Amino acid sequence: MLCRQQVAELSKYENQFSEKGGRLAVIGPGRASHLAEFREVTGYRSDLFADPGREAYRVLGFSSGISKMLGIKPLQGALSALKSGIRPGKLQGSALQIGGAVVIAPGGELRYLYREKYVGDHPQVVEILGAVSDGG
Amino acid sequence: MQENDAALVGIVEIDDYIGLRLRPAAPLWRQKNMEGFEVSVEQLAPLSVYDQEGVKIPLSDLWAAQTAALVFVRHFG
Repeated sequence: MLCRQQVAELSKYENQFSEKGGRLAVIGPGRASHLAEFREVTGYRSDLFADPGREAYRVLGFSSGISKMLGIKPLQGALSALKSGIRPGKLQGSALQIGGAVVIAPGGELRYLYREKYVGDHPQVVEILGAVSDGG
Repeated sequence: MQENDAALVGIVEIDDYIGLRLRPAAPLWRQKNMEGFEVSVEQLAPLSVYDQEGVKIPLSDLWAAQTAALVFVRHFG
């Protein structure tokens, strides 16, 4: 699954995050100038931020490296995205970076952490929503 | 190519002046630690991100008033 496909999928659940009292934010390793176009192609309306220095990625242990792009699973994800009509856009950020997700409650309680193991290994939206609901 | 990219795997990169050179992989123990280390929200809180207008936003603002789900993507492509 490509990044724009992942975020387009997330955009279908935006209302559910707000209904559960949560705040959804997508963060990418590109520049702020990339955000408008990304929002346009994905249809995503919630918070969108850039982390150009990838400092948060490092603190969270979201690794990077060419090894994360190699193998059958990343290839299957890319083929699946292409098959569904999603085309990759111009690369804006780091090709070697992989991501993940966290859910943090007021006061700094970490409720959920998902580190992608390879390209396309995205966190499940239902799991993220579940963590937002916990204790809320 | 940033320092962190090359730290996880041995990788050949193009140096502007020297030409191709091989950067060594990080020791195995370090790669293992990268997979398993604990996350510190205290370390995350003072970091900042930028919104569409280029305004710097402290990460801690995102979860100050409500539970925040932060999804980190690979890139904006």
